[in-house]
Amino acid sequence: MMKIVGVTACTTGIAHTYMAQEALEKECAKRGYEVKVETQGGMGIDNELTEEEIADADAVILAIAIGIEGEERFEEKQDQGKVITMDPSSLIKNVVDVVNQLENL
Amino acid sequence: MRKEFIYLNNELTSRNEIIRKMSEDVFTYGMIIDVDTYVNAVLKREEEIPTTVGFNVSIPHGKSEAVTEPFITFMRTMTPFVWDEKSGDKAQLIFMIGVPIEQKDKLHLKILAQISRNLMDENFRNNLLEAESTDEAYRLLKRIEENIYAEEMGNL
Repeated sequence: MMKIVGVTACTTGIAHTYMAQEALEKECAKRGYEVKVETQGGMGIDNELTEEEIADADAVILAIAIGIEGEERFEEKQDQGKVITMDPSSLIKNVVDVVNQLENL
Repeated sequence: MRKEFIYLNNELTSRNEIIRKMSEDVFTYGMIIDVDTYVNAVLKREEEIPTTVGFNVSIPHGKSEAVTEPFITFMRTMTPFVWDEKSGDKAQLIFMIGVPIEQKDKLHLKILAQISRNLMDENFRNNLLEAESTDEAYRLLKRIEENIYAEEMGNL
């Protein structure tokens, strides 16, 4: 089963962070993929990804409009070409295409 | 969530007028201390990146020193209209959010986050589109708030 992990973070940390999380979780559920999304928003870090979860993931999506805590956790995946970085609002609008892209990494 | 902040079948079709209209009402209830400061913060954000998220939903918002208490307002317009001229993005369901710069009260943020998540749900959006009265729309939104409260109580 495809495993996806992601981080969402927007500039104000109120709405897009959580909408992007929901959009990604929904799309992955629809496809039967395993997914975990860490949010870095107004409430701080929720649903934090462990090293192990990141290592196990087939693909990583960073839907971030700001610098995030612990970005270095994804360096190895980055080197493997398994990371897509984009704005959270693009993820919300294009979630189907984005998950297709993650599949094909 | 206040019933006074729910507007159904509004005939306005201009982003700026809508933001101003709702901000003036929020001001009356004291959640913002200066309409212009808040409106400018919201419009600045819209100019940088429009807050349309697809499905004819937009979520104008701003963190501003003019906001003293977190709030959310909801407007449903008669028809979808062009929210953002540059992108041509449309809106019909508009959620305007305000949060103080220093927000210590996590509960309010949690409610706003949960409403945002619900907007990704087609059923929830359809219910809001079909709500026949302000009361009905209010109940839909209030339910989210109550679930969060219940959850918080459960965690104590």
